[in-house]
Amino acid sequence: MNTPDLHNHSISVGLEGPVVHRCKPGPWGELEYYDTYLEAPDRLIRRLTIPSQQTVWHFEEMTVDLIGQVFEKVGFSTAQIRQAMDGKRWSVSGDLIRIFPTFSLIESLSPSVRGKLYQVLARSELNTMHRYPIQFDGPDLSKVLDRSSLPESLVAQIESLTYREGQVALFSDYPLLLRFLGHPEKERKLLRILTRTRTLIARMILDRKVDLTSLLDYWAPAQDNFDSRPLMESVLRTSGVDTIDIVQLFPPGARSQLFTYPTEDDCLSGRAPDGIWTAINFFNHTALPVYEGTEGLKHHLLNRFRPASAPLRFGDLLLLSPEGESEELPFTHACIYIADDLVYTKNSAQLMAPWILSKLRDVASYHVRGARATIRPYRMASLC
Amino acid sequence: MELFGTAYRSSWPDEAPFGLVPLITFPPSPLFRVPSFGTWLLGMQTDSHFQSSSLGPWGELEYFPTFLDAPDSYFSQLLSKTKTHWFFSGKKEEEVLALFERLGTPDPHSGVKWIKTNDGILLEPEFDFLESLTAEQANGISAEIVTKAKRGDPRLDYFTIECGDYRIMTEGLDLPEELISWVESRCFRLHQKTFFASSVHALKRISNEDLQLRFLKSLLRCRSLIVRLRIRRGQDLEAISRWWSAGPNRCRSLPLLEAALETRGVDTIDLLHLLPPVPRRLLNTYALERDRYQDMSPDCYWSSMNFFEPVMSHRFLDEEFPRTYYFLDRFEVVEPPYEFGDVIMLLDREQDRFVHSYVYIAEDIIYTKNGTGKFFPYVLMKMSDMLTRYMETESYETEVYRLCAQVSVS
Repeated sequence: MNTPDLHNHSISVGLEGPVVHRCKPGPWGELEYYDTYLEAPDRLIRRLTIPSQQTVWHFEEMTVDLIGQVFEKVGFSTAQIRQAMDGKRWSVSGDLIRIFPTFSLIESLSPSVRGKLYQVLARSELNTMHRYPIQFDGPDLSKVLDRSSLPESLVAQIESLTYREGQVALFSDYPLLLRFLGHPEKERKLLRILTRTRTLIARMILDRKVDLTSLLDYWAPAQDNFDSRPLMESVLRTSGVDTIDIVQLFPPGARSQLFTYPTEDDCLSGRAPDGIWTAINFFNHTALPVYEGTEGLKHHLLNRFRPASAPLRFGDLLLLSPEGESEELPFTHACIYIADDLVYTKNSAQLMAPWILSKLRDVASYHVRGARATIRPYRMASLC
Repeated sequence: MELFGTAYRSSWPDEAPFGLVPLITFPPSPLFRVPSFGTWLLGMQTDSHFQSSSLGPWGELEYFPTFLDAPDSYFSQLLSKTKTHWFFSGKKEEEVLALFERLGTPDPHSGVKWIKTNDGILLEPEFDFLESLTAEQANGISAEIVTKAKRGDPRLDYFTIECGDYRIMTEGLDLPEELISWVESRCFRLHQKTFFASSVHALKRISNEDLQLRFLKSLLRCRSLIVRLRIRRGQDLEAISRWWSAGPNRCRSLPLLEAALETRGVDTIDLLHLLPPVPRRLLNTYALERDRYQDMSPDCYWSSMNFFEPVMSHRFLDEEFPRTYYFLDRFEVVEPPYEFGDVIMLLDREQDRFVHSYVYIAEDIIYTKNGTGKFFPYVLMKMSDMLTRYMETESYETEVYRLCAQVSVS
């Protein structure tokens, strides 16, 4: 197995100045990048239904006793159990028990208890917010919410309701916050902020003394679908151009997607692009309808890609799975290696998930929560 | 292979979905100026690192003029040419002889192979004969050929020198001064454009293969702009994003624009991010063999019509494509002020001929493919620079079209 060196080579420039990070120098040349956060566009936010302020916990095919045991097992205090088991806040219909917890009960849960309870709730599709929590992409929640113009009290409230799985901060209690907002515009604004996705704007620093041939060998592999050589040669001899956005060096499909959110046009096949689709189609002129769970996915992968060995190259496909997983497939996620520890990825099939540049370790902790990730690199057969 | 840039389609004038009512004449407005060589020359010759556009609803753009050279593999066919061909379209032998006599050339029956064809006279001059000609004589012969040339005729190989000055086109290619001067002496002006028609002769004079390649690149390189949007704190993001979200491009670029504005240190973003999906895919690249449909290759019309398409459609190469219906159904004629994504048609009113189409981006920057075939990349250019390639007479006019608002978009 070939795992890229994830050692951080970031540098910060001054306390107030621009926070620029440098990648480790390598065959990719010199790269710098800035952290930034994308928010889903209004066209998507408007499609989301604002839920009731009242949180509902759905328990399917469980008895009252079993539910009581769950509360006990995840660490509820006696007082919390008493509140949660208050029959006035229960609704029983057939195999479904709905509990309408009070605001104070929800707020009183510690992050650890909250995390354990919400893992149980996530087993039911009816608990949408728990099954598909908002994942704050990035190690530091305050950074994610920084400059979001949210009132400090609200930021504190979000932080107190956040729970973790591994390095990932999760949030499921959007309904609880609605009572602090009181206006549809504010509700939508909060929703937008909660969709924040961390990404990187990356540029190559142009060094006229660099060995152009080796640089081109890295960024312009022999592909019949695109050729970034003309542009590279052009910018290197253009006076005044000191950096180039690395999106210019991407193959056509990825070029058109980076930093955007899917539209209906991207879903015409009946499925929305996910991580697998994004990785498999990186070099493709015409996108293939291959998604997570597609029949024959393993066959397709092994037909077109070969296990790769170090050093990794631009465009290599990385399969991520929890450490200890013995089989190569299935895997948890796939992304594309760009350079150093930068990858190109789409973290889910959701329309709210944009195509981004990310650090490999962030992608790994996002998809392999609470465990170490195994990374298996593959290379297009035509490039081997 | 078509070596000159005009993407002319013989079927167009009859099927053109627009009348030739001059909505804009040159100079129609400060936006669409009469072409000027000066702009480009200034940009190339000064040491200023970039040119910054004026502020406008598009924000503030900075751009760097550059040249794109086609990949080396594209030149193999040109490099293998060993014979100069002079094709005198529609001429008789005595007319060609009269031309040589008028120019005072050596005897054209010695060292020149004469071939009569159905539609003219084809000559194959030997190297020694070419060497015996003065620049004036060689250019006189070439000018006569270009004047009568039928576009797309494979027996012709002449080049339009973009911006009119060959020396500028050699920047960074490290060509010897002797070669540059020789080519300059063999360039000639015709119809407001500069031509060179002695490429095979020049190749014979160059023994070094690498130099031959660089020489051919100098003839076929394309001017382009690397354009960036300047990001300044406190900018009216809504106004800027309105400009770049015109038509079906809406919202695509907004998330990055907003993110960039909030990110310390990010003071520019590449214009590539603000383009719709198809031009994002294509910008600064050359057409690929797989883009050919039988004998049709992407051209300016294909490039313009695909600008707002979610995925590239090759229907714009179809011979039987119902252009009139398609155009009238989806586009409407508009007047200034123009918007991002408007399609501009360049028309020759005198000859009732479609000349070129391109897409308006901002200020006087356009997105264009300046010719059919693989040697013409998809680029951003100053409109004035593009026009130096196409303007032949003052009778050219433009019409500007916009995708109708009701055309469904995602």
